[in-house]
Amino acid sequence: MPERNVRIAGSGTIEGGSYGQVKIAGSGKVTGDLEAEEFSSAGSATAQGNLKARRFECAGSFRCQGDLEVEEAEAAGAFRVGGKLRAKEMKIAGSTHGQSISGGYLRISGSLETQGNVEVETLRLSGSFRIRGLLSADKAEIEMHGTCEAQEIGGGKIEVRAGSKSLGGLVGEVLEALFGTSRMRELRAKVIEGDEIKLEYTQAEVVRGGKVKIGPGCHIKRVEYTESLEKDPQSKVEEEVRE
Amino acid sequence: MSEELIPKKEVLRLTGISYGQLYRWKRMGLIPEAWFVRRSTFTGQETFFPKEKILRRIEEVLRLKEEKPLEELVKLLAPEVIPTEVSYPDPLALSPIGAEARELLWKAGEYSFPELVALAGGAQALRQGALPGEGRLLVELLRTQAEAFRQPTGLAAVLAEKTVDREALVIRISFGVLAREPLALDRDTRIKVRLDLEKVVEDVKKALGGGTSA
Repeated sequence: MPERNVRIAGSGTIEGGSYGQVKIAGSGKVTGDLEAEEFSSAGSATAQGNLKARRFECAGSFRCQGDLEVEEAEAAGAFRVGGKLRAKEMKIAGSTHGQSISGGYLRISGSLETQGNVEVETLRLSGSFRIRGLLSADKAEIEMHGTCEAQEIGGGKIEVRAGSKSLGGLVGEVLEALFGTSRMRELRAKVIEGDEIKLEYTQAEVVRGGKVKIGPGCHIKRVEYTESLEKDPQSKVEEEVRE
Repeated sequence: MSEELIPKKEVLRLTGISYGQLYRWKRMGLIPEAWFVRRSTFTGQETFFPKEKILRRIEEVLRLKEEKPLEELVKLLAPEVIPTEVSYPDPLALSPIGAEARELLWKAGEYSFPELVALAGGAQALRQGALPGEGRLLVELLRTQAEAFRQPTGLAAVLAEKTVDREALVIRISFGVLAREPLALDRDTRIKVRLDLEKVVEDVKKALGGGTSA
């Protein structure tokens, strides 16, 4: 099938279908399911169906009402997926809303909110999140610049730390614009499970793991561990069990 | 059917796998979401699994992962992944179906994956003492419910019999049911055959996987 390219400059509508390159500059709307080798938008874009792209880039505001499946992706600005987001490798700066996220490598600077699970191989997040389901990763590095909340967190290596109050660079500007400068930096979760867990400023009912390190500012009801437990004297662990 | 549950910690202790592995396998679909049973206990929230299923699945993954990449194991073991490309000319050669299911076949030629599952269900019913007509009843029911094969956890394919006794006249009616466990039936209905659909799907998948990789 010959590859069709399509480009919107200004304002326009694209029908669904299969494309090579899709470029939107200005304001664009995709009315059906769309598949593309490359999709990029700058300005404002809305996809009313499912969208699948090998390379994906958006800046400004992007909204997909169906599922979004991408291999290499970058998003900046307000990014919203009504269905499931699947990404092999994705970097997002700004605010993200989604139903659920699954994939390989996910880097987020800013805020993340999902109704369901976030399940990836590697997560590097600096900012804040509200995950109403499970957050799971082989390796999760979380730098908090706001309130972080998940029902459950589970995986291999989980590291949570409070970000420094003053930040430089673009990321700092984005975060400050989103959360202001006097941010509450705290993680709340019911259960946190992992082979290696390092926590700061965390409130949890249960932490279960192999090697567990409870840093400053934590309040954990119960820690169950198999290998080792380190506790910051300023943190409170109500009950600890070695199994 | 109330299955015995086992806490997640106990699963890790018995099998020696790590949290990392468990969550990775869940992400990949090797352990179905439906098997995670969340309960509040006096020590806080805990996750339980159906004991027999989870231990069997982990044992299989540990045994097979040396030979095959995990992505392939997903196709072989995960219930949500229905092989769409399967078309199989000789269903009776598959062990979950077998030669005794000859009378359940409804066509010559190729059978798709859902059709093979339907046949396997019927064949198992025959082996458990169902009459040929009843086996066919179950096959026909399952053929119309192929979508359910993607999420078979907790689904039972049942052959039931209802007896109506009017002094001089006893009528027995057989019927097929596809329903979620636990089942509730009235006292005049007797279950003749009860199949765990998840197991049937898994058996067919394994029989096919073994055949194609050999």
